[in-house]
Amino acid sequence: MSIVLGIETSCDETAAAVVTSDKRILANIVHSQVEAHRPFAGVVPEIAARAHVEKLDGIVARCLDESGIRLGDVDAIAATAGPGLIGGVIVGLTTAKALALATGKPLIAVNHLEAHALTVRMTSDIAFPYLLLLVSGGHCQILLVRGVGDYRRLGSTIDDAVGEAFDKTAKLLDLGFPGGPAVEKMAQGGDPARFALPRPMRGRDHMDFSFSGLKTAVRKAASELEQPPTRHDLADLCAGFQAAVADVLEDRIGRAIDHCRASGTAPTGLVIAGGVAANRMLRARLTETAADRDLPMIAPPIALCTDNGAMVAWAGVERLLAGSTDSLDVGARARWPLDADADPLPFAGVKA
Amino acid sequence: MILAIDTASRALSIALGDGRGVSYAAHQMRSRGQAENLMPMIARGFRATGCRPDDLTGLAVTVGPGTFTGLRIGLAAARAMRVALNVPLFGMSALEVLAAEAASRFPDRPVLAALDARRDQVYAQMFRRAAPPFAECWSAPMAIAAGDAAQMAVPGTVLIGNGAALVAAHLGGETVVLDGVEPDARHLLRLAAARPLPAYPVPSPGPLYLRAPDAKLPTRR
Repeated sequence: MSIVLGIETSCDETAAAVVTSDKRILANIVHSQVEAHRPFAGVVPEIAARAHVEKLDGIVARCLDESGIRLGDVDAIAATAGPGLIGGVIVGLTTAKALALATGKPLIAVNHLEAHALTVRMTSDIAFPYLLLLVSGGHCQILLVRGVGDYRRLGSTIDDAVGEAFDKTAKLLDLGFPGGPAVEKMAQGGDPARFALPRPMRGRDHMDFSFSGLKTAVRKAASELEQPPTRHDLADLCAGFQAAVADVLEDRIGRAIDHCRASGTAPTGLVIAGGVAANRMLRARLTETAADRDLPMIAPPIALCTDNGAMVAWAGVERLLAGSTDSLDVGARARWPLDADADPLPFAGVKA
Repeated sequence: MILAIDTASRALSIALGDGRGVSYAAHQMRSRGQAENLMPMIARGFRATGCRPDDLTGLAVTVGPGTFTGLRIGLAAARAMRVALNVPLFGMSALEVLAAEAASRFPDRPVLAALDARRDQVYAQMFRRAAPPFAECWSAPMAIAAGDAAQMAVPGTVLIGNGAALVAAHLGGETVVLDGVEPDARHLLRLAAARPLPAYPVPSPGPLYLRAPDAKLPTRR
């Protein structure tokens, strides 16, 4: 059995975990910086990096303490090396390198997207290949996971990530930060049909996403409301926004399943991961989408869908077992697509 | 054996040694690639000296001021090694390390350490001579206009650091300018070896930014 320490600092969670190759999470500590970013209604990279360096060593020490494992007894040290906010990634990766150098243990530079992609193998028994919908504040893509290190990107956002669309909608309507849970809560009881919002990319003959037009439509609808908007108005607008997102995800995922089958690959399931996977309404819709095509929808527990150290440690386990470790001069990468063959998309920046 | 690390400004610098002297030192002028090159540099130091990580009895690191990313690289590395090795970690301002170098070269002169902080400012701190190897702080470290920093200098002051010329431009003669000097881990090591190291487990030293993060509060609609 192998034991891996995993470190995650690519966005606004400072996290560490100890995980075993027999799928046990011995400790998993996530420190959310949400309070530090709340006044700005979004994650501020420099504030995030500052918080990571102040907190991470204490979190690693506490994590080892809780796990009952001494640092000298772990088999490898894994950290997210990208993609993500580079200032934070550098803190986590440098910490892991120093721990590796001090202990003589191997370093594993983990791709954050790969960590999301493989988490489900720690929490469920699922065989390759499976379809992954990764939806968070920083990412929005559909991947075919064929094996450890073997990914094909079927679609990605060409502008905003879906979680970003939630955050921007919440900011626009003054609902607070983080926007995902705020919009979901406000949408309850709202009438999704009152506002006619676009479904960008729906029906298109590819599997990419676009959310900036939807965001603009929400802004326009909000500006046409009598000011200040009533709670009723806000509920209807949030419900309309969420329904539009659900329709788009359903369309894109349905197309991806059909595309895989048509090209001779039968996925074993639809896996969803990332912070947006915590949205109950979207989860329910995607479960239906998969069921309509006789496919199980599998999602890791919500605490493992959002950023955490256990997913990084688990990806480290998978990499270690595959004999893939990294040297101490490995660099942090703001952009690091899982599918090296996929072309960058025009306006997606690091998100594709 | 103490390991001293500096990545706070535009250099990558390490030293291994103790109160008797420096047994290994490496110094590269670079403002990029510090994160990639730091660990290999330390590993070379261990190989060259035959020292193992377990042999370390203390760590020292510059905590800033400097580039935000750079100072975090050194701090993250040193703080992680402290957790791994359970040894004391000594944090010191990059300006004090510069002052120690100036003091070693020009005894009996006051020192103004200055690092280029961009936006027409320097990170500056005034020191006066004290018993070797120390330079005694005479002001707090500050992010100020180069002209304001120049106001602190007295005749005979040694200006040191990559912001020294920026300050010197506002002064007449009567000063010694050591421009383009970056913090050197050998001087950090000297300071750490001469001072009692903090006993573990005091809190880890934190960063010294001297500047708030760039972030604008959203305006209400």
